[in-house]
Amino acid sequence: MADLTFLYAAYTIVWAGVFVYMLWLHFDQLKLRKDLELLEEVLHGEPE
Amino acid sequence: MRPLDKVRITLLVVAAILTLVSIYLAVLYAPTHTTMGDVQRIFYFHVSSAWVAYMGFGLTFVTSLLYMKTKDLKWDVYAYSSAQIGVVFCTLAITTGPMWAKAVWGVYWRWEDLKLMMTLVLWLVFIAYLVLRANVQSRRKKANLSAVFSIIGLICIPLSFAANRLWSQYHPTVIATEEGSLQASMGFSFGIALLAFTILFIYILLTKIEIETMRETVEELKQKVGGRHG
Amino acid sequence: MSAVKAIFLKELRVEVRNVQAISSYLLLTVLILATFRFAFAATDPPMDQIAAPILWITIFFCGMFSLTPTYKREVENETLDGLLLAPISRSSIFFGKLLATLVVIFGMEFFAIFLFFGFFPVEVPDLLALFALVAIGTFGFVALSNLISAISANTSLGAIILFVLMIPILLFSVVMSAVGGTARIFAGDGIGEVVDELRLLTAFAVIFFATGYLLIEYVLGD
Repeated sequence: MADLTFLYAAYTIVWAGVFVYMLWLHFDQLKLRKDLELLEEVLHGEPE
Repeated sequence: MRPLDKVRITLLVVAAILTLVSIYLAVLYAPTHTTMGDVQRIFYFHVSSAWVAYMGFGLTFVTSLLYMKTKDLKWDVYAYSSAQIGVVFCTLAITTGPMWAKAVWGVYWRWEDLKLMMTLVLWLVFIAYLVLRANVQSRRKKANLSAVFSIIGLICIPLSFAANRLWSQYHPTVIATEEGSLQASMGFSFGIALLAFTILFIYILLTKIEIETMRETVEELKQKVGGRHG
Repeated sequence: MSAVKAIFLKELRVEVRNVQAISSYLLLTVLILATFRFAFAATDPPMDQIAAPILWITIFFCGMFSLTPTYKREVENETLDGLLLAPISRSSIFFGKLLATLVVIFGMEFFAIFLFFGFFPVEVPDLLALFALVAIGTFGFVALSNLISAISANTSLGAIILFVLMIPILLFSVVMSAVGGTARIFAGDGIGEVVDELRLLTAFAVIFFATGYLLIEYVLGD
C-alpha cells in the first residue's frame, strides 16, 4: 500500500511540476507582451 | 498568426494528446511488473523526465559551443532556455527517482550508481549555471562566462565514465534490471511516454526562446526610451 | 615566456606582501582541522577511514578561499583593464597567475598536512605516494579554480559564487579520485597500487589546463 502512495506522489510531482512551469512561462510571456506594448506606445504612439 | 505560432500550437496539441495517451498506457494498459509491482509505473515518466533533462543539457553544451564560435547572442538565448528546462525536468527526475528506488531497492539513493551520481552532478552544475547568469550584469559578459562555464561543466563527464570502473572497485554495482526485463507492451508504453515528453520539450523550448527574445527586445526598447527622456 | 614570468613574479609579490591574507588562510586551515577533530572526538570512528576525506576537504575549502581574490582584486583595484591592455597574451596572464597560486597553495598544503598529522595521527608507510597524489590533485584543482576565479570576478556576488560554481565540477573530477587514492595510501598501499588514481588525476589536470588555456580569452575579453 505504501508503494502506491509513492506512485501517486511521483505522478503528482511530475504533472504538477510540468504544469506549474508552463503556467509560469505563460504569465512571464503575458507580462513581457504588456511591457512591449507599453514601450511601443511610448516610442511610436505619443506625439512629439 | 505567424507560422511559428502555428507550429507551436500544433506541437502543444500533439503533446497534450500524446501525454494523455501515455498516462493511459502507463497506468492501465501496461501490465504490472512481476517483481516491482505497481510502483514500477513511476518508471515511464521518471525516465522520460531524465531524458528531457539530458537533452536540455546536451543542447546547452552544443549551443554554447556555437555561441563561442559565432559570437551570435541568439545561440546564448538557446543555451539559457534549454538549460532552464533541463534543470526543471532534472528536478522532477531527481525527486521521483528516490520514490521508485525506495519501493524497489529499499533505499532512497544508491551512492555507488553512476547514473544517479551523474544526474545529481549535472543538476548541480546547471543550477550553478543559472546562478552565474543571474549575477552577471553585462549582456555580453553573461553570454561569454556562462558559455565557458557550461563547457567546463560538461567536459569532464566522459572521463568520469572511465573513472567509474575505478570507483566500482570499492562499491560493486548491482546490475540494474529495469531495462533488461521490459515486456513488449511496457516498451511500447515507454516509447509513447518518451515521445510525448520529447514533443513537450520542443514546445516548451520554442516558447522559452520566444520569451527570452522578447525580453531582449524589451531591454533594448527600454534603453531607447531611457535615452530619449533621460 | 618572459610575460608569464613577469606576471608570476608580480602575483607572488602581491600574495607575499599581503601578510593579513596569508595569516587568515593559515588560521582557517587550523580552524577547519580543529572543527573536524572536535566533531569526530564525540563519535571516535576508526582514524584511517575518516582521515582522507578530512585532509581533502580542508585542502579544498582553504584553497578555494585563498583563490577567490586572484582575479577579483584586479577588478576591485581597477587594474584589470591595464593588465589586458599590456602587449601580452591572455593565456600568459592565466599561466602567470596559475603558477603564483600554485606556489601559495603548495605552501598552504605543506602547513595543512603537517598540522593534519598533529590532529589525526595516521600511519603512512609510503609518504612519497601521498605527496605525489596531493601534488597532482592540486595541479588540477588549482587550474580549475583559476579559471573559475576569473569567471566569478565579474559577478556581483562575493566569495560565495566561487564555491557555488566550483564544487559541482570538483565533485566528480578531483574529489572522488583524490580521496579514493589517499584512503588507500592511509590503509597501507604504496605508490604502485594508486597508479590508476594518479593517472586519472593527471588526466583531469591536463583537461583543466587545456580548457583554461583555450577559454581564458573569452573570460577576460569582451
